[in-house]
Amino acid sequence: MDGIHDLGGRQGFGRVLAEPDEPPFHEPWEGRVHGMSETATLDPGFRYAIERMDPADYLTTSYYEHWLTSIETRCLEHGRFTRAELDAAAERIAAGEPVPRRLDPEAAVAARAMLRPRPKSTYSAPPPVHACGDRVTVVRLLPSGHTRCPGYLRGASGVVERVHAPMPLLDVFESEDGRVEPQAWYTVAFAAADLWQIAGPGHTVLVDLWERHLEAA
Amino acid sequence: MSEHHGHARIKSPQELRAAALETVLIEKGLVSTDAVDAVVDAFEREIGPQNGARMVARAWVDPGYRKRLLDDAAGAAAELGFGGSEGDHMRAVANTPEVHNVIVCTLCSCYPWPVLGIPPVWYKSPPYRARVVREPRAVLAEFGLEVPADVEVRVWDSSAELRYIVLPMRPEGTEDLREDELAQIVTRDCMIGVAVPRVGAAA
Repeated sequence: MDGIHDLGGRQGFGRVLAEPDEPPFHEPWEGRVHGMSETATLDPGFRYAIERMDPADYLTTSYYEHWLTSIETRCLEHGRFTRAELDAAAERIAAGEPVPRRLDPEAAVAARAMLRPRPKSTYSAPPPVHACGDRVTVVRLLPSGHTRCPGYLRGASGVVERVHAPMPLLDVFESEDGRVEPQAWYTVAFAAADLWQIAGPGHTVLVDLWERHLEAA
Repeated sequence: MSEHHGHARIKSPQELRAAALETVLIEKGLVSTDAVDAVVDAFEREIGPQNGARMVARAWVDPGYRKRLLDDAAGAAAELGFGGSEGDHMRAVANTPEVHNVIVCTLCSCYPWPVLGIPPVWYKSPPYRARVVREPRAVLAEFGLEVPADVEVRVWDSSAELRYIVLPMRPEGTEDLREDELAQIVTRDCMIGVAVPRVGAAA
């Protein structure tokens, strides 16, 4: 999706403002949102739901507000709950009612296990089309929906730096309700001067791209 | 708003929204309190850049570990007990006298959680994501890091399932430091690539 989230190379932003001694979560609600996002029964499309936010809202709300929006949007779209139920809960909380508790020790153990080393999934797919050292061009035309191909690369050529074992194409997984379509993917190196007019010493940008995003140069 | 039941007053619209969401998810049986608690607790007490710093320090003192880290960072992290969400696939990229590496996620906020924890707000902010791919030297200079013109800057834009961590160079003057002392000078920013380790710096 050519949305506001696709920020690479955009101009007009000011300095990067770093906060000293930043905590993992600035407020307890941020931790709750992170924990819900990781452990709740949710439908696929985490990022696509964020990318579909109103562009002005996207730029003026915080990271964990994006996550809140993503959880709400997916649950509403998949009928997990209704807007009326969410609004009613907010009224009860605002009136002083506590958040209910529900304990599931097995789920808690599983949640902690997700944050420890675990086996990797393997996928089969057609053999990779490109090889290390090949020159490739990023396609200009992509289907609507979520994509992991940043806009600043469209039409640019680079060199395959590494070929990776197949993984589900996340464009399809996020846009098409979790459909798994494994493809080979690559780390591709682009000379910055092939992406933008650069004054002074150049640099190299390396991006991970799937078969769908590339064609032979 | 009164404070019924001795519960803390809701302080912001975001907090209210999050509490309402948790309420509905719990009432629908879609999440459990203790699972959320477990994730919060893990990030507040166990998972953070101290994990990545241990890997870097180990790589500095143990050439075998350094090789394993560069060949398969997720495997090298697992040796120390680190791994899982946002770190099933990781790649360490080594700084050298000729190359300086820096990581970003222009489309979102990809970051190697098991070894660096939750990304700082600036890493997820539009200015960093927009600028560091296009003018990395200027961004690094704002962080106080001047990269010489003859050093290649490599910007790794994490767009798939691979999460990157920078393996900085061991600074001069650290020959006498033990591994745990070396880990102390490896800050989060060194492993993102917007800083380099300095003797006397604390992580």
